[in-house]
Amino acid sequence: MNEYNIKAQNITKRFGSEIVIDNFTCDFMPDTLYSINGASGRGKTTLLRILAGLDRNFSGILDIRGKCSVMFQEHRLFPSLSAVDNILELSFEKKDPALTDMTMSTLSSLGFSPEDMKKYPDELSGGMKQRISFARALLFKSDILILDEPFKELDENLRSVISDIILGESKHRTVIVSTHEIPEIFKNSAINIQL
Amino acid sequence: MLNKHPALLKKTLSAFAVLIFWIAVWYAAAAIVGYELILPSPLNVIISFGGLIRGGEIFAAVGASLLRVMIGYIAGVAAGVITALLTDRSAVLRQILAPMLTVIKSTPVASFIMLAWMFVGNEKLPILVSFMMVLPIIWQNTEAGLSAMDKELSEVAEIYELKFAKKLRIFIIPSLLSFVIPALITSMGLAWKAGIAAEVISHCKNSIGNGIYESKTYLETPELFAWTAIVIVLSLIIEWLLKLLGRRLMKFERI
Repeated sequence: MNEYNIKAQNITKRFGSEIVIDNFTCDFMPDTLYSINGASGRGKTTLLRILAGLDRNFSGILDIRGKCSVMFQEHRLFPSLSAVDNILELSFEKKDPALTDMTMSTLSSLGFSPEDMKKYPDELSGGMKQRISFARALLFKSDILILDEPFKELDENLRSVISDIILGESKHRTVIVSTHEIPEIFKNSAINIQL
Repeated sequence: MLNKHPALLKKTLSAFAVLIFWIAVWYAAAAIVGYELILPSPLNVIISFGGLIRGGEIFAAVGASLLRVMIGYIAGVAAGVITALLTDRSAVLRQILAPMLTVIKSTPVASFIMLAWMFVGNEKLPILVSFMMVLPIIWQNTEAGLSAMDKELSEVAEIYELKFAKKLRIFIIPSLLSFVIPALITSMGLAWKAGIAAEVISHCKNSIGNGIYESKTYLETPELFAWTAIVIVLSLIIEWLLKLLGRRLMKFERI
């Protein structure tokens, strides 16, 4: 229980001569919500990429113990797959009716109609793509859930739905969220890290 | 159907008018030359074509030529894709194989046919020549497609631990199509023409190339034109089918 899922020690990341992450240290524990806060350009996405193991070009020590699922800020949906298939094909090894039902139910709670679920990424709005990307990360069985700006492009109602889901998830795994404005609900429930 | 689509009707009529124009030019040129051995009239070519059909040998020849070229083509496509996948992963292998690509691309088809003839004999020569025409084009285009693949989606595939078969189906193939389909069409045209040229040179039995060779040997110029017309028409049909297939695939993959 006291074993960390990610240990980051003295992480420093430079882009040329510019230091983007300066000596970042944190143990990310299981079943805990972390909110990485900061204005745009403060290195939130860079830090999340390092924590997810996608950027290995940094100095410091990083130990990741467990599987990560990531919601990318740029959505990153596969254009040849429908909205629902972008989740089914990525989040699960094999399709089966129970998983399809679970995916559709999650999408429904995120405001998708059955017609929207069949649409392709080029037919979806930015907010819809954002939610597909969120659902994909959410449904992938992982120890660490990393969400880069999950509240961007969402209305108040969906922000609240997603905040509740994130809080629920943080009871079962490490959840790391980056955001430039901390939702009220996170202020007491999350370990806030200011960049 | 054409009445409902005026643009299509206009296009069909103008294509027909162009065809009539060139047949008229051909007629006029044949009349001016006045020597069937050099330039037969369209009518005599049609008569020779009818003779070939009635003789029946044309069907076996077309079938056998198509089969040979298609074997070489499919093998060339497979080898080109596999080689590109390997060279994309290994810079060393790419360096080792790069001179081979340059040599294949720079060697004149005729030299290549003569050289290859010594090693594989008459029957397999068109297969090998078609193969060698296709391989470098598919290889280069597949490699270009692989290096142009979306790096962001590659990261998604990495994070979500996609197995290779799934990655191939949902990411690699759709990403490569816009590079590979034009290469498939171009290389088919080259494979077809080079394969027939190889048949002509090797006098490969039961082939379009042999029909062309014998027509030339016996100075049957209308028949030579008829065989050539068959090559052109088949080439157009194959290209049309590949373009149609390519469009369907691109639409299916939403490219």
